[in-house]
Amino acid sequence: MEFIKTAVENIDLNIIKTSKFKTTRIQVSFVGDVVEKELTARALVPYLLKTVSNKYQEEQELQKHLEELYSATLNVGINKISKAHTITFDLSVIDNVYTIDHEDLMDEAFSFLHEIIFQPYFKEDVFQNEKRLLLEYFQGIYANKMKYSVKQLVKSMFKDETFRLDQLGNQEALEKLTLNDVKEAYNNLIKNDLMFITVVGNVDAEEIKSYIKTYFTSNNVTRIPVLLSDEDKEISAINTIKEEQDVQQAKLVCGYRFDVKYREKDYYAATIFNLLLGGSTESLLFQEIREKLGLVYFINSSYNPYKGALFIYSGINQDDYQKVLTETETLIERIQQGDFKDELIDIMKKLFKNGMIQGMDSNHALAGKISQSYLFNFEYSIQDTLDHLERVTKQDVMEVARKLRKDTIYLLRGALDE
Amino acid sequence: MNKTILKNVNEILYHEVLDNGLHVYMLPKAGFQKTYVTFSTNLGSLNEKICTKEGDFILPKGIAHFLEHKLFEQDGKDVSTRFARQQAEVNAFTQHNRTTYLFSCTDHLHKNLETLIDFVQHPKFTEEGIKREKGIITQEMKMYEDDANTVSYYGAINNIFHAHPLRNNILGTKESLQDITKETLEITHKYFYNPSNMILFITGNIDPKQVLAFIKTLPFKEEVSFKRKEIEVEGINVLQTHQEIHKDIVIPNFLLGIKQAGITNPKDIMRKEITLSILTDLIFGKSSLYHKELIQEGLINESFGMDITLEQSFGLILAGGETFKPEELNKRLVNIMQNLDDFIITEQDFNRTKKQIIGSFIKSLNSIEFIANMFTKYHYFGASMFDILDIASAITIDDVHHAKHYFKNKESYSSFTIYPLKK
Repeated sequence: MEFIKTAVENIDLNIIKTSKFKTTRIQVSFVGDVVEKELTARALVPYLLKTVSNKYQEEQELQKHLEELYSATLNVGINKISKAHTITFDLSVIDNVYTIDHEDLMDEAFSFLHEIIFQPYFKEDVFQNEKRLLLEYFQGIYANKMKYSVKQLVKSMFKDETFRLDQLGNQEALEKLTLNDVKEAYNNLIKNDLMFITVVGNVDAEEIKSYIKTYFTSNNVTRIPVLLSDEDKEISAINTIKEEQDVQQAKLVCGYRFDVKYREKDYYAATIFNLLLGGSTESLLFQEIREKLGLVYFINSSYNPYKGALFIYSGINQDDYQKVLTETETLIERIQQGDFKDELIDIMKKLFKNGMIQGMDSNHALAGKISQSYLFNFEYSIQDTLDHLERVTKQDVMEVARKLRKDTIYLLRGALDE
Repeated sequence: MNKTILKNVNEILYHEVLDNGLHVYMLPKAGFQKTYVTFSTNLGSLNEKICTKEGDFILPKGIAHFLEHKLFEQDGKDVSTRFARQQAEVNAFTQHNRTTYLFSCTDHLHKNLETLIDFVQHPKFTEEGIKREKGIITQEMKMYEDDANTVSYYGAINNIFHAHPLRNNILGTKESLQDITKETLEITHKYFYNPSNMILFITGNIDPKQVLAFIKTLPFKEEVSFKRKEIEVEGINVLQTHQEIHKDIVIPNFLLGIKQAGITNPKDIMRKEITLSILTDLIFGKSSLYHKELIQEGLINESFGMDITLEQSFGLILAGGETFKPEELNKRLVNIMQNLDDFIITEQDFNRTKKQIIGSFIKSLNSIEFIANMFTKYHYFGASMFDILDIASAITIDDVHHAKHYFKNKESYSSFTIYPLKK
């Protein structure tokens, strides 16, 4: 496996050359700021682009073309890295050797990506369809009780911060949206976003460069937007929200401020802390609250290093609400005081290492890692990460655990009079 | 050790049956860092009764799943810690026809294999652990009771089948959990975890010769003979054609099932599966005219999906998703499927589906998890997933036309809708 960082006429290009996959994955990514008033229109842009284009003015034609390319998969990824918004067009094609007549799919793939991104065909009926689909996506979240609960917590906990915004925007803005708004967002994106390309597969770097030269033109934007959150708030009192729905299982989400950002000095200790608290099956939350007390089927924590926040999720019996909260607090205190087996630090390091090395076997994870290192401007190296990790001590974990500040508790519960 | 060179996908598959009857398959993946191992037995929620030398034994509902949870606890300790120490992550899942234990590791493959075989083959249950597990599984049940997709799946299944054990919830019921004891767990394990029922699939960063030699040194459980109760195959008419319930959701959740016959011959299962998937893709796939219409009429959204399940004892086609117009969608789908005689398939359309099958299959081989799980699924039918491309290339346009008749029988249709609560 070889990492190649290069550029073609101002378009940055990251290549991971490896023969272990049977496909080549090509990602064309755009990065801009999260701007609230444009967010929903911007989120709709890639959905319109991937449906029709100037050459394929009917969705059926475009889909047939993908099918002809041996079911090439086209996905759009819409994400936010705290303050930055990313849109990724992701296309995978199988290696030419597996085609019936050894067809060349690579040229087709780049040509197609160029077509859908730079030769848009905006029309009202496609816009109306995509608008409805996104609307129903928002409306559908209510049925996913865990997802719904997290959304409610985020909305309240970060109500004055950019982080409250969903990467897909929101329902209210969507309902008012017109095709012109989307066109405008498209023009902004093409003109003002940083664009870069990532390729993972058994490819020749020079060949890839020639495709990019043929099909793509740089907008000469080289500025990387602000990625990490710089917003914070003083917590005067813990914000508790309880909502009632007709549910069998209550959902409990706890939100904490955890001001340790990506690749800061304490970042690796924070990562180990999260694994130890609730980020693995060896975690204290899982081992104590599920395995010892039998109170939950799932409980876990996740750490967002771009925002500097940590969340704990669980599905509980609503009568156990207080018990689970108290137990969670006790476990956090135990970590802060070092009241846990020393061996656990070593186990968490092994779990982290296992996960990281496994990521090398997924072209999706690899593309993600390499894009991340590009945006944060460092050379991706497993060894480097492992070295940092190795140096984390129990003391470091105890200290970083003390940075946790409880902010909001959200409970979705059933009716009380049962 | 048998070695099969799979030329069209550029892989090599190794196979050996151990003296105790265990099937060991290995597929080395050049360049991969991790190794993924699955160890499966054909015990699932379909199994209800067995005949043994000590007499008949009726399995409490949900015991396959309960056993899957409880094998992880050895003498009160969670076996996952042992894997974590050995740089591995362990997991397991229970389906209607099998239970699978798995780990993925990036070091200490032999030690992890030893741990896997040890905990799956040699249980050490405790009364206390069993009691606690009932609390955990009760929470798992509640989680799924709030999940509209799971509710509509079981709702549809229970309307489609009269008595087939596919009706059984994999988790069992609150009541049946009470029948699960240390004794019933031990009996179930004693018979169903015979190595001769099981398959070990190892893929990733491996040297097959070394791995096989090591596996042969491991202690497996002793073989105990027994007989399963045969599943009675039903006719293709459904029990009930429609049912609706209400839950706390916003968009109604709709699922249509079309019952199919069971199929005895494994190659026929795969042939029908591929033929039906070609046909349904031509009818409802993203490049189809009907897809366009259903989208424009507001009847389906991104959640719409189709699924084909064919086995020896039953067959089933499911179609559905979230929709604000479930009644209209039902009418449209049934109308389309029952009037396929005039549905035109051009030579060009048909050839394109062949390319789609190749592309999707090749792409899926990037995932060693997919390979292990698919291989195991077909192994239990007596087939091989690596035959898919050959079987697919032999399918003709006439076969696809012929498959239209699987949608003909009006009594095979059943729909299930979850509406939002009446407020």
